Amino acid sequence: MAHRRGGPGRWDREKRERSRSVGLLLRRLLGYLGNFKRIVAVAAVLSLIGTLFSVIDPLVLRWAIDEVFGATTTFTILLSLVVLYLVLKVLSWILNSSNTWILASAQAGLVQEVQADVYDHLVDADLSYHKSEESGNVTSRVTSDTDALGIGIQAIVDFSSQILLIAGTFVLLWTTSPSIALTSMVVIPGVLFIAAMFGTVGQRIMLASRKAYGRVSGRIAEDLSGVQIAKAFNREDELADELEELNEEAYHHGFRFMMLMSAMQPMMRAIGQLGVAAVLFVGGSLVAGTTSVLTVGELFLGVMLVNRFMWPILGLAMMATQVQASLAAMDRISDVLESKRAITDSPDAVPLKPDSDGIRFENVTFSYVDGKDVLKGVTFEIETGKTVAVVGHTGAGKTTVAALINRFYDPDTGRILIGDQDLRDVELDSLHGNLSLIPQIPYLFDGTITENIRYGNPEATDDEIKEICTLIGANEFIEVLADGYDTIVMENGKNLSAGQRQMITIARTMLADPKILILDEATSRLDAYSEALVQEAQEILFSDRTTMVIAHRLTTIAHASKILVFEDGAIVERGTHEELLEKDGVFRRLYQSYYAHQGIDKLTEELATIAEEEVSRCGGRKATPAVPGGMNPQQRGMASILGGSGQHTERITEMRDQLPPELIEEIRDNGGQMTPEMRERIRQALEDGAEE
Amino acid sequence: MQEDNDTTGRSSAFRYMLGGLARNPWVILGALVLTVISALVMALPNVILGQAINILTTAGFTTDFINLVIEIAVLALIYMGMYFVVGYAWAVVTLRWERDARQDFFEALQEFSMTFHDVIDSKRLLSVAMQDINWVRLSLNPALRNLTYSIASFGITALFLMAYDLTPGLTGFLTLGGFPIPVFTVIMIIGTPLYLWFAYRYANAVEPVRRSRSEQMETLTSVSQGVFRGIEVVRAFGKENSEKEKFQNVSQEYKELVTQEGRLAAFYIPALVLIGMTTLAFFYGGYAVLAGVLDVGTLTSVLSLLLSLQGFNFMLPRMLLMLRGGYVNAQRIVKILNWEDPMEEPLEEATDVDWRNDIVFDNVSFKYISENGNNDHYALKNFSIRIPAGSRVALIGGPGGGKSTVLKLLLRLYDPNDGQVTVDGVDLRNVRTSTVRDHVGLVEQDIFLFRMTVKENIAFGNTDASQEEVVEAAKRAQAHEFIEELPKGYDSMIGERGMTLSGGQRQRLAIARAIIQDPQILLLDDSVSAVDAQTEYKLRQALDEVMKGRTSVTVTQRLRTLLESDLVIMVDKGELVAAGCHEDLLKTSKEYRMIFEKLPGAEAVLKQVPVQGGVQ
Ligand SMILES: Nc1ncnc2c1ncn2[C@@H]1O[C@H](COP(=O)(O)OP(=O)(O)OP(=O)(O)O)[C@@H](O)[C@H]1O
Ligand SMILES: Nc1ncnc2c1ncn2[C@@H]1O[C@H](COP(=O)(O)OP(=O)(O)OP(=O)(O)O)[C@@H](O)[C@H]1O
Ligand SMILES: [Mg+2]
Ligand SMILES: [Mg+2]
Repeated sequence: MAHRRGGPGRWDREKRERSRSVGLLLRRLLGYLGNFKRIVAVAAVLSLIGTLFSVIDPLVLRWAIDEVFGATTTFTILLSLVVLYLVLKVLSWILNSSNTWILASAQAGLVQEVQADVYDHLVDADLSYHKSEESGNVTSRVTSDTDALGIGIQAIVDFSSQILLIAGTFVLLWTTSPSIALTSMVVIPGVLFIAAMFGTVGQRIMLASRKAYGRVSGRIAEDLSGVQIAKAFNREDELADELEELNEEAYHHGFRFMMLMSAMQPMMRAIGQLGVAAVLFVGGSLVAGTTSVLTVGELFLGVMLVNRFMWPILGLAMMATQVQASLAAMDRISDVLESKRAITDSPDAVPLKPDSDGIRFENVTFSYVDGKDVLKGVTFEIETGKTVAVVGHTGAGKTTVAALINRFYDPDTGRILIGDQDLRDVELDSLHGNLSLIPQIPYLFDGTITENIRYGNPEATDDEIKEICTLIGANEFIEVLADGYDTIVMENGKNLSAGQRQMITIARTMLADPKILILDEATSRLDAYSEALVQEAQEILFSDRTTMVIAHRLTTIAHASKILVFEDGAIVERGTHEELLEKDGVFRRLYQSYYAHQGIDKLTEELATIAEEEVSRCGGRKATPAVPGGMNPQQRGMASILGGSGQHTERITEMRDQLPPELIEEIRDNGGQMTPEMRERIRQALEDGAEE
Repeated sequence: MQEDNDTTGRSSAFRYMLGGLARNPWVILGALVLTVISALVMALPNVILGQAINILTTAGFTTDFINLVIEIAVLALIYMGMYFVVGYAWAVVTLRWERDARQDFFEALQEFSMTFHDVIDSKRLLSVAMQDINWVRLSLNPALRNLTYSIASFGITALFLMAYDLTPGLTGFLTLGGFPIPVFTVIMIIGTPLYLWFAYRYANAVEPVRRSRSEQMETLTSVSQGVFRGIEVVRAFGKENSEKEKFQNVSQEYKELVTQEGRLAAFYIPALVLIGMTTLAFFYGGYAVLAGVLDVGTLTSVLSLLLSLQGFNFMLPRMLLMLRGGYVNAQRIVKILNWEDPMEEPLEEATDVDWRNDIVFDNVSFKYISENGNNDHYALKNFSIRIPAGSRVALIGGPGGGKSTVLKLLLRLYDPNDGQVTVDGVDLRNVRTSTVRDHVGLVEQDIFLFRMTVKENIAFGNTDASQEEVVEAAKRAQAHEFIEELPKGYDSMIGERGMTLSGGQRQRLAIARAIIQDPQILLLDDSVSAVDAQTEYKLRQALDEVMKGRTSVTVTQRLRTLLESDLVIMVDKGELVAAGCHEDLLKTSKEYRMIFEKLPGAEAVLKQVPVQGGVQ
């Protein structure tokens, strides 16, 4: 359990600093590069040779200058030097280009590998991670972070050839003239200064700028999803103003960053020119004089090389930021890669046995956050083929139970079994193959309606899909949509109505034909008629499957053979409809307040029925409603309260008149619920009435 | 026709791109002049180098020589100052442009009617607002900035080389048929356009690749975001592996495109042109020195001028790609901005609308626009109804019946395709959307709350609301109690990580938000579905009080609301099925009876109603 909480909590998106050492991150990066060993090796050799060529070609120019200056040269020598120069140049162009060409695939391949790796980890990551992060932010782990890595790889590869170039150039300078080599080093303090400035101030500005930019992006994303509300309340201008502030801030940081960048380039060049001046000065004094120790060609070489010397260093300084950025990206990626999954197949996991069925919770305790138990010692059993309903107020823990059965999380204590197999010993694949959940919030993928429904069962034919849709009453509306079954679902179905979305998720699950079915408020957005259709379909298709039904609406739990009542993470009541109604408990209260409001015409009518029931219970006069054939248990239960027969209705009206009006008012104010005291008064009133 | 469209698209994308620069023409002009001067300042040391070497070889290490060295150093400093100013000017102009472009883009999006937001994926809009605008800016600065500098350098180098051709020894050194050939000039005059032409072709080649790469990136983003949002569904169906496979395919394709684009950077032909130019100049110069018509100093100058151009080989390809790519991005932006909105605001607004008066749907037909534009499915078809002033209306019907659509038309989020919606006899088309929305309040079906405090979310309905009014609205919406229990009460942030509200709580906040707006017409779209019965009852009482004498329309699945309404409207598949008060409908409408029967508790009511017209 410990790693579950430890893992995701630390996946903080806006970490100020890296938490891993540069060495480790580099090693990891190079580790990925290792998968492309051959390519990288070839590229490295090419790059080495290419660099050597670029170091040599100024030498040719030097010779030439010295030769023509010596004036002893022939045209042939000049020509051969020119040809040599051309050959060297073209060769190094070919080498460098091949290098880029080859590396392009390695670089892209590496990014792809990291992408796939990160994606795989994220798909398997703990649900609590996905719950706590915005999906856009999770996505950026896969997209922008890996992209930043790509740039870094380029930089690292370039880095080695740049280093080589610097070293080669310096050696060349040294062999030409140690004093010029030493003179050229005057540029180093300047370069170091710039690099340092970038490492410190630049880094900070860049971070600030990126954050400000992220805030703008987050705000735009949010405002776009809420655009209908902004319009409905005429708040477009205010939202625009708020964005403007963030935008201004982003501009401010961006500007500072760019100024730094714009300052760097001319500074580097200027330093380079100062280096040229210095070399010219020192070199000049060596060329002149009586004992000339330097040729003009060598001086020219020195001047050229100082410039050569500058560029790779400038490049390195530039790359330093890129490498920094990509190391930061690697660090964020490492968070994902290193996180241990809490939920994995244990080594001795086995598939779910064909005859394992039914669900059992044994003393299950669970919390999302330490110290706040959401489920407290929950024990229950759903027998094979039975339907059990779970009811309770919002936040009671119903959805959590469903999540645990799906093994999205493991319980802190206790265990959950299917048949006699502990979920922890079952292969996840086979668990989910046998179990289906209709989640509380319908979710649809981008794609056609058919694709969405087929999600649960890739082998299903179009006819089967149509059949199931017809059965639940979805076919009607799908067929009249613009492209029927091929209508593209956009952004979680924003082009469908709320009820249509829910119908599609129901069709999807029914098509999957699971052995065990879990419905979490699956029909909450449907009208009564459509719900009845769905229930009938369920009756036909899943009557003998193990089913758990979670519902606010009590019509939905009609077919349950047992009801579990949750309150505050514990089961407070359990039993059949009738049993629970007999008890004067939570369920009864829920039930009554529900019908009081679904309810009939005047509140008094319900009061009367309840009153009547009170009387019949206490007065020994058992209410025996005439139940019409085919009525389901829920309706039966309802009827017993409301008075399902004409005979009852008469009595209700009769008794209603006997209740004192102020009592009715009082009960009405209480939202239709009755306290024991009220019950007592009703009974009293009724008895008084009877005596008259 | 097709082409015509294309060219207009082109020119406006072009204008969009340069709009940033055109906004401050003098700054940019000044920056351009400075760019040319600093390119000159940077080229001069190469010339001075030649002179210095000449002095060295003839006169030796003299003060003249030292002066030249100092000149180089001073030029370096001047260059630094000047180019910094150039950078500053460009930064100010382009970054301001980026800021304003983003702001304008966002405001334009907000201005578009809901039809726009239905058709275009918001993920795509976000990526355009952030990435595409950013890329356009990058194409101006650094790309265009560096390109102008490079071109200036080419030009100045060319000028210097031409000047060398005019040195006394060289004129007439090589002649063809009696005419002197200025070889350096020829090299530059042929070489430079060649270089630029190849560079242009190179940049063009990247366009299709860049376009598909951007699109593939969008796919990649939306595929992974889709999966992460629906991760529970993916898990519940055990589809992890097939999702991974799907991603593999998409990312492999992306890899191919990245590789392609990366390979374009290799074999940068223009570099060969430059090599050719240098070699020729080297050969010709060397030959001239041998022939004694050119001194070594000038040769070094020529060579170092050409060599410093080679520095651009490094940068130019990237900058050209950026510029060309930025144009693609600008096209994408302009395409969105040019979207034609079917909803128009009236030029002259109808005043004096009594919002408490009758609402009439007069033969209204409406269909949503779909992305591929072939939607012939009417969400509402020939829908006519009169809602008398001040009535409480209930709307019922099956999924997709058109209930939410009726409400959206009343809020003028859309205009009907045919027929009209009138309030107090005034067609809503003649009222500005903002006026309509001031008087009509909506609690939507899928609640959206902003990432703000509870108080700010409620006050969203009326920004001037005082703390007392907010609390009052919350109390009416039965939200006060749970808000008080939140860690920071009315100042608790919602939507942030860790702070999640249950469905019922969200709905009550949304109701408070609508109440505080004090609308003349209130629309509730199934907005108590997640509220428990007891609370709902109190809520309805409070609402009835607020809405006394005003009209309210409620979409509902609950029996009680039907019974308590003055008018029940039933729709199915976009058509009006029945309308009337509950009792009448029970008697006259078969469809209504059918739905009603399914409602819990209906059994008893039905028993009391005499059946008419042979139902059952
Ligand atoms: N991912 C989560 N992280 C932390 N707490 C959570 C998380 N999901 C739910 N909770 C909390 O756990 C409790 C139980 O939530 P659950 O979703 O199981 O309730 P529920 O009974 O399904 O309610 P509803 O009827 O509203 O769906 C609530 O207090 C909720 O705030
Ligand atoms: N933004 C949209 N783009 C395209 N089609 C839409 C859009 N919104 C709704 N529709 C379609 O219009 C029809 C009417 O939808 P509407 O949302 O009005 O139904 P509803 O009666 O509110 O249903 P529910 O009870 O499910 O909320 C449906 O067929 C739906 O698919
Ligand atoms: Mg739930
Ligand atoms: Mg709706």
